[in-house]
Amino acid sequence: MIKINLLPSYILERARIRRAIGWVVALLVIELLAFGFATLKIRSAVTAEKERLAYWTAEAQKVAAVQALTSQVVADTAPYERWVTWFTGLERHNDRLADYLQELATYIYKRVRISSLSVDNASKQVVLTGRTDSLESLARYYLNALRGPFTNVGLQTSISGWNLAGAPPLAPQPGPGGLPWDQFASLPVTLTCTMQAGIYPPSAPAAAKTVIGTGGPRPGTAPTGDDDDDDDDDDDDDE
Amino acid sequence: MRFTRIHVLVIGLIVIVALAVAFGMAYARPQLAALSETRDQVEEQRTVAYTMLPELRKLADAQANYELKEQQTYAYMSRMPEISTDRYQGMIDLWKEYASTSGPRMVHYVIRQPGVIAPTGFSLPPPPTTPLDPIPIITVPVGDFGIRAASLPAIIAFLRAIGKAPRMATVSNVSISGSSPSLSVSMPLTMYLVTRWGLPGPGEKPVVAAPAETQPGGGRPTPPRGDDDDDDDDDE
Repeated sequence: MIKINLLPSYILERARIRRAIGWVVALLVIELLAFGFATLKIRSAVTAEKERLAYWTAEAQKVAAVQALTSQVVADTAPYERWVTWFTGLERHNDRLADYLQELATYIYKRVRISSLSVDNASKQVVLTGRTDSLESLARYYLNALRGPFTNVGLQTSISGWNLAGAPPLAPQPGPGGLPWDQFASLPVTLTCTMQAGIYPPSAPAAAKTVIGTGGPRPGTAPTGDDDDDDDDDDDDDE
Repeated sequence: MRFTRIHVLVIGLIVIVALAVAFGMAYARPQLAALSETRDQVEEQRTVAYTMLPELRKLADAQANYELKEQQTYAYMSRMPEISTDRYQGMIDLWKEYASTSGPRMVHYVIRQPGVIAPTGFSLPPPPTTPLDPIPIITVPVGDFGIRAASLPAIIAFLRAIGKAPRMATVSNVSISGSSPSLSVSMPLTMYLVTRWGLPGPGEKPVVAAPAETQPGGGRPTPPRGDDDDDDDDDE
């Protein structure tokens, strides 16, 4: 059966338009609902993140407080550190001088009899005066000193050239005293050496004052000391 | 032109898309950007907060170090005389120190060292007769100090022992002469006296830098106190 629609086309079109408007409105409503849902989700996420931020910020502030306290304690410790460093430096200063003498002794040849030894920090001079028994001993002594903790080594002795007339001047002469050494120890020798570095006490953590002046700075004192930390534990030489 | 269903659909579509774009640009995008920024801040703060344990350890170490250094300092200070921060009393304390305390204590210590035969000299300069300046450290040169010792090892051992003497002292130069077993040693000695200006009592903050020359009472000199005798003979 053939369907014949006797209504005019504009009426049919109007109906179609109304249906289309209905669809559009429905879509709009769905879209608005979606916007609402998205808005709620975003807001709740933002709120949750803000709460987390507040919590972790508080925790981070506690860490900052601990760090500030640590800095304060470190600052309070600094004066005591400086005093302890100074005190231990004073104790250690004499040890360093003792170490230096001990090392010095290892470079003194055993066939040299030392009669005086002086160590002067102000001029960094070490002077050893003594006697030895032969040129070989003298040479050994001198060469040892060249390997020692010195920068310059100067030797003074009294070696004479060979002379045909009279007794050979290089023959050892009996010396004074009754010790077995003295009959050989006839060759005087003085070594004047310069220390590689001075041994100075540490600078005080605060201004020090000489209450009764002795007319000048203390000998052997330098504001920033050279440190001589050479240690040598061989020490068997007696003077 | 007649208005048809197609027009309605197109217009409707345009409106829907425009609304979506407007919502996204005007609201969603800024909110999401703020959310992302907030999350970044949370991460930063959380990273900092996770360092609490190491920071607490550092604090504990710092406190332990503080206590240790404080104890060490006051252990060294036990070898120092009590010299008052009052300028007049401090001067009187120094009189006693110079005249009757330092010398005997040091000499007693010296003669007890193994290998030392006898001291050959020990003289302290006259003490000051002016009110004491507020300085932390007083350096005292000891004149004529020397010993007779049996051997070089004894001299070396004595030098090491000087660091533990009743008063802090250092030797700068050494001059040895003679022969074993009676060596003469001359060693200029410098003594250090730390006053309470350098280190006040425990619990107070120490003053490290020497203050400028001021009177502790603020202008008017303080008359000296009565005789405070705190000499106690705990000798080494």
